[in-house]
Amino acid sequence: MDMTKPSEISTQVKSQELEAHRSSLFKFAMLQLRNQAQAEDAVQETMLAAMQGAERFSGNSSLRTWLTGILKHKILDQIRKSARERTSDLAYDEGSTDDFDALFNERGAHAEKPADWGNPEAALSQRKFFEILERCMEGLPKNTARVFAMREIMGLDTKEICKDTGISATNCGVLLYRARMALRLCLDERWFGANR
Amino acid sequence: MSLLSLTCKEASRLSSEALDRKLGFRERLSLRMHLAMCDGCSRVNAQYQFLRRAMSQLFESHVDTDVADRD
Repeated sequence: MDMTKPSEISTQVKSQELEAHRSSLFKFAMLQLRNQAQAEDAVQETMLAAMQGAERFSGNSSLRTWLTGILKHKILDQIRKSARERTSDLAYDEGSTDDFDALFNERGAHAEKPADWGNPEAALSQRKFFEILERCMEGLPKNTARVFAMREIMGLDTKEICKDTGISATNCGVLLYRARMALRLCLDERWFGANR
Repeated sequence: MSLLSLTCKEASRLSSEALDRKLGFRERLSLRMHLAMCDGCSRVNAQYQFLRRAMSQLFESHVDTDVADRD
């Protein structure tokens, strides 16, 4: 029987094929790292790892899924590296939660009742919604976006995030709160409230 | 904060914390009480949780583009 051996399949992962994914991998890395040089490094290392480890690509998942899985680790490496080298200002507090004060009155109640999003799940089947979500993420301050991505895209727990970034647990909680509030308001304005 | 009477501001923060750590018994109780009484904060809480589901699919949405691009 003429079965294609895994090693032969792997040789099909050619650099040309990998290159076709470069720009979207870069986009995904930028969304999380918010630093061009680091995003380029993460993607470059992903390409290298993919070429060296091509035999591990099973062909069961799409090439993109496999590459993105590698990329997540490389992004994390970049974050750890910049924390070690202190080239990033991750430990810097990007402010308090004061900027959401306007949402509340002097008694701490909502000044204006938050909108009802109805059945938001429907948005998850729309490509355009994710584009808006990405635009909203781009509007977050850099460290806020990084910590939020580590928590919600990479699924790390806050203990790991603190260790990798060198920020305190309290500060981490503040950044995550800020991210959620900012994204909630952004999605409300640009998606859910757009037709109100 | 007075645990049995959270303000909306405190509740919106605590709802976020609940997604990142296990709340203490009194925190959990006071948040549940507040959410039961407050429509606005229930919406905020639901929006945070929706945001989590959306973020977990952001990666897949990129993957989907891949498939769409090849078709």
